[in-house]
Amino acid sequence: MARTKKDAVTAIKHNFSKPTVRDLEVIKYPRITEKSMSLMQDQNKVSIVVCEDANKTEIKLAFQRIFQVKVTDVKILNVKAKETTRGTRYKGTLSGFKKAVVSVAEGEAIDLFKD
Amino acid sequence: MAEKKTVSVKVLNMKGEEAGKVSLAASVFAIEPHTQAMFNAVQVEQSNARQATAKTKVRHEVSGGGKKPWRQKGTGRARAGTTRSPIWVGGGTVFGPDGNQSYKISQNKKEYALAKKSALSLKVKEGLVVIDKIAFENKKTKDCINFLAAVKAQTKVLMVVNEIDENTFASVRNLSWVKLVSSDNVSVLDVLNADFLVTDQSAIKQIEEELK
Repeated sequence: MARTKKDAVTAIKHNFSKPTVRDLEVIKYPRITEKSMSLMQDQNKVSIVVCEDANKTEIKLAFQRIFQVKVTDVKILNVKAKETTRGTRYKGTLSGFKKAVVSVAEGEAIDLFKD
Repeated sequence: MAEKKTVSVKVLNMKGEEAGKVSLAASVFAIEPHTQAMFNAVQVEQSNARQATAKTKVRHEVSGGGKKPWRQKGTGRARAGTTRSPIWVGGGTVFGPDGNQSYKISQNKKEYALAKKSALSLKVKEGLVVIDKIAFENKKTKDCINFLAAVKAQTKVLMVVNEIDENTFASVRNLSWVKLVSSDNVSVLDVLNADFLVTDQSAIKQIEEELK
């Protein structure tokens, strides 16, 4: 039976337990950029900003518990802080963060714009 | 115990007004507390949370000591092959912690369940606050403070909800005296450590279901 992407969320019932406080700390918010949107559409990968001391295993488990979808792969990288200027007077830095690209199992999807 | 099969606990709403009652199974929430089981459960939880970070150096790990301090014969001193021998000052340690100690202990599941029921029964007598539904509209710490003040739970609080959502998480996050867990993650240590167990109807029913 072929599943379409749309009804996938309700179609598969996983037995992941409920999210913990640490899970919500680990996964901060989705990173919405042109690149992340195309990754999501073409390869079913979700880009998120994560807690800086989180590791891949933690991210995978937390993501599964929060969104109740199966994760097949996690890649992480640190985005370095950048220097910025506004006009000539203000000099500062844009803070860096840790980014994770999470591969969601085939046939499953999450809705980032639910609320 | 062949007394009544349920205990009834009053239910408040989030403003602290009374909003009915909920009846809970006496086999879970009104048993004779078993002190030994609870003690064992706390010991298990605390011990299992322990990391083996203590570490000493044995004679080969202390740096130096490669050269023989003095010749074997003829000096009148006791023979010595290294300055890091355990009987020397500055030498290695013999039976110290090696960093691989395991503090993992376990408890029988039935005994742990008994401990949990005991702890909950103690809380029913004093410190259990049941709300009709815990739901925060905004991500505001102030909302949480006002809510806990309204239900008169202002010292150490364990907040048990059915499922942690973002608003609850964010409202509680900055309060050091409030610990938030979902109803399938309640531990004996958390229950006993808190002065108040603040929970809502759906969460407490789930705890009941688990322990029945």
